[in-house]
Amino acid sequence: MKAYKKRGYENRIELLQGTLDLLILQTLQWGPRHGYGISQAIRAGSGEVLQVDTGSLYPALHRLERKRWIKSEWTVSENNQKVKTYQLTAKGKKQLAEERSAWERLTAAMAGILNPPEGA
Amino acid sequence: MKFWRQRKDEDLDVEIRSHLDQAIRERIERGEAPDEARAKALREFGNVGLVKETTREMWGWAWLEQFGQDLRFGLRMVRKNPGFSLVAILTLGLGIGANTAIFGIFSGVLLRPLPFPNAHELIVARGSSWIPVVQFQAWQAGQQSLAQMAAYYPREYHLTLAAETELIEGAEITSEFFPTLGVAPQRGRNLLAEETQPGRERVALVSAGLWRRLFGSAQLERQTLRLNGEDYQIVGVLPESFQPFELNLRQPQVWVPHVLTPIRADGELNYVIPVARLKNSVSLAQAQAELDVKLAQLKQQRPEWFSEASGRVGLNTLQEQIVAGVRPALRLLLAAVGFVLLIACVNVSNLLLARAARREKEMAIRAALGAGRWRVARQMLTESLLLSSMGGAAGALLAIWSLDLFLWLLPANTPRLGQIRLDATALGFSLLLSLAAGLLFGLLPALATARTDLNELLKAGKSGGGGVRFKRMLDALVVAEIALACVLLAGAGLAANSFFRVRQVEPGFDAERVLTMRLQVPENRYTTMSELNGFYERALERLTATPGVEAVALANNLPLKRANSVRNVTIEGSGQRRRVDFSVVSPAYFRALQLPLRRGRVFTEADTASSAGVVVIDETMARQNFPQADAVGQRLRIGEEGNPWLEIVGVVADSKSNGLEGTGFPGIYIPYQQRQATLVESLVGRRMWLLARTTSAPAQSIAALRQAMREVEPDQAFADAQPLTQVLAESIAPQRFRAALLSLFALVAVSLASLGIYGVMNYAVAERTREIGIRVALGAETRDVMRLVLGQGLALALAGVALGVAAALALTRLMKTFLFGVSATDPLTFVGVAALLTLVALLACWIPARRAAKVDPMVSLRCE
Repeated sequence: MKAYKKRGYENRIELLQGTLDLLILQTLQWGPRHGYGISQAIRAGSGEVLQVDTGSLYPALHRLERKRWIKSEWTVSENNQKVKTYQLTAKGKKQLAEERSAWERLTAAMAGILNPPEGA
Repeated sequence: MKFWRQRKDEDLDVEIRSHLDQAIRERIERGEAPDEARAKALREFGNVGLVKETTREMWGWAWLEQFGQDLRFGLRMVRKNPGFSLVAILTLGLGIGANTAIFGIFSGVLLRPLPFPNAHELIVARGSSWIPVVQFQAWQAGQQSLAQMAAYYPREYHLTLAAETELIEGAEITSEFFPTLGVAPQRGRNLLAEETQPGRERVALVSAGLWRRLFGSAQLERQTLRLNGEDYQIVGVLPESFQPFELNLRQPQVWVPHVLTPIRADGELNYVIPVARLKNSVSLAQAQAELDVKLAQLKQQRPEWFSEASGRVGLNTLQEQIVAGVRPALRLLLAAVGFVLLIACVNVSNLLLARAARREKEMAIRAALGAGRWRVARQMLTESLLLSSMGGAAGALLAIWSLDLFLWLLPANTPRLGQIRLDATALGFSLLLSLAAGLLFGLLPALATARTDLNELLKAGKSGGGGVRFKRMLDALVVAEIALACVLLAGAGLAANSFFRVRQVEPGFDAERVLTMRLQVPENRYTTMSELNGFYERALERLTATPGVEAVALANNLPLKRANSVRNVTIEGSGQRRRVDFSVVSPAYFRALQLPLRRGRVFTEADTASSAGVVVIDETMARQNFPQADAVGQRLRIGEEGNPWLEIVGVVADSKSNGLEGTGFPGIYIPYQQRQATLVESLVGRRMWLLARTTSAPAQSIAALRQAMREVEPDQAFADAQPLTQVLAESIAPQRFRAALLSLFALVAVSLASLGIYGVMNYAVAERTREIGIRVALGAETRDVMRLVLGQGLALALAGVALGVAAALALTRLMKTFLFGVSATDPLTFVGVAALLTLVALLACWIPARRAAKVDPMVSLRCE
């Protein structure tokens, strides 16, 4: 277990400000999920590299809900447990599209600087 | 909101618990032991409380919640330091309460509009003074600037009731009177224009109070009133709210038509009091200009009606008229009470600052835990606002209680006294004051705390106490406080000094055990002068025979109130002309007032209308006109050439004729039965004063005297029975009011300032415990330590006093008009104030100094 922990720690990347919102919105694009589900999905999707801190996840969820990008409802999970699930709203979908394109521009720009074309 | 909030909290709990449950379940499914799975899931999750807390902040109520936290924390601070809080709240309560009460008086007297519609349009002749009817009519003819104008003539009436006769106030009015004021009768109608024609005037309007008392719920029709022995048909009842003391009428109960008669039967001019309403586009100055033109024309046409001095009538708005006299005094008090609040604020600021210094460590820890400077300052401000609101509440209570005291102190003739109450405006004012005060006194400590340098503080590693910076601020505040108190004390000193000087003025007569009563003989009774004199003779004889009465005299004026009985006299021989105050008196006057006779004789029963004309003069008159010779036996003449010469038969001691503060003219006395022969402008003498010297308390004789008067003349009553001492006291009531209030405020100010210096010195001693310990260890004695502390206190006190005296010298000039017998920069007062304040400050430092002297070097050095 020690190895796992250590590896997790080493591979962890600090999330850039604002990227968590994008990750959450992106994760919810495939359907409603609860908080734990979202964190697991991000972890799995990033190949265990990104581990979302609950201290950031829940404030972010509540913040996004307040901005009406996502909405929540109480449902019963497959284990017969009461869980709060979040889903994208129409406004959230629009926001996701905007943030995605912003992100892509950013990464393209970053890539341009970090990997200058040969011969430049 | 509370409910909503609670549900959200519960939801968050469930959400987080379900997160944990799922994490645990997945671990168990992966094959971990339940206990281990649980522990790991929890560790992975992190600090549950912190997650909740940061999530909650997203809900948008953060600021409100923080405010709530600050408030709760503030309340806890209040509870935890009951002594500190009590002092702060009481201090503020005193300041705010006094301000609220004075503001209540201020707004009641000065700010509230008069109880008439569009009251700003109402104008009167300056001083609500009388003008000749000829002027009134000339003004009225073809005037352009007034919407309406009316005249009235205050009078007293004997109202005959079944069992007795009462003297009541009333007025004769022209039919435009109520329409001009904008007052409509509550029942019935106004006077008609034709009812002010001769022969039609036996109708009356009555006050709501009189109607209720006499007729209750009766029908208006056919009710009559017997006034001065004549029947008047009641045509209307005025509304309850109509109380026109604004027009120099105290409690008028009947209103009857006034027939404008320009010239009296004896050829003299008749007078009335005008009141008018400006057209709404016309200014006071325009109305004045029009009136001036008209009066100039009249003066040209009929010069015989005007003396060189008379003629111009100055106009004034009614509102201005009423408040002009009291405005300066109320402003003075408002300024004084403002100083008190300022001192209170400085004081609380001081307390908070000293506490902030002690709490520096707490604040530093808060800062270290992530609280921003603004956050810390905000918490300090919340605390001070909390204190100030509590102070404001205490102040409102105090104002409600103290208002009665202030009203009791107010001179009885203060205009609109009855309208003074603490209304929403005054309470709103106090709320505003408390918030402003909270900001004012909270700002400095808040800023001081926000500026605290964390590193420096932690480096210093002290047990709290902000050192030099705080100390300097505290010192500055204390100096300011003492300076403010000094200004107030100087003002109070001057006012008190004036009051004592006024009280020491010898009135010249003995007011003890003298009862005064006003007598009004109706015009339709005793129509000839000899009948009237006969009535007076009988009345005086009967009243003097009343048990418990030593002497009863008749006079046309009360002592102290003779100012408007001024005449010119000419001295025989020298031909010098003098202005004098005259009094028409009966022989017993001098005995009743114990006015000592210096030379010659006073009047006797033998000085009648048919005997030779005589006068008694006072000492000033004698000294001014007959410096060498004996005044007795000399002669003088009142008024114009051709009037009879009157022989001076006696000289009596001076008495104050124009109030204790006034200078007045020299006085002469005339036997009442000769009043018509000697004073050419005939004084009929239907309105007279009775002065009765009694053997015991004067008020005890009122009933017996009333009964005696009824025996002489069943329909004759007298009014305003009051001891002369009360008249005397009322005449200096404004002085007393100012002196009492300013002294009260100064007392509060000095107490607060000494509390302030005490607090600061206490703090300073606590700060320097270590240093003092070292000094003691090195051999300093009790005396040295005390000198150290007292010296420091003295330096502060002297700085404050110096500043304060300088400010007071500049400010007390503004109260020059209120002073009597002292200059605004009276050196004695200022030296006294400075000495007193320094002494009080030193006393306040005594306790901290004692404490410093008792510092045990071992304890003080070990404690850090």
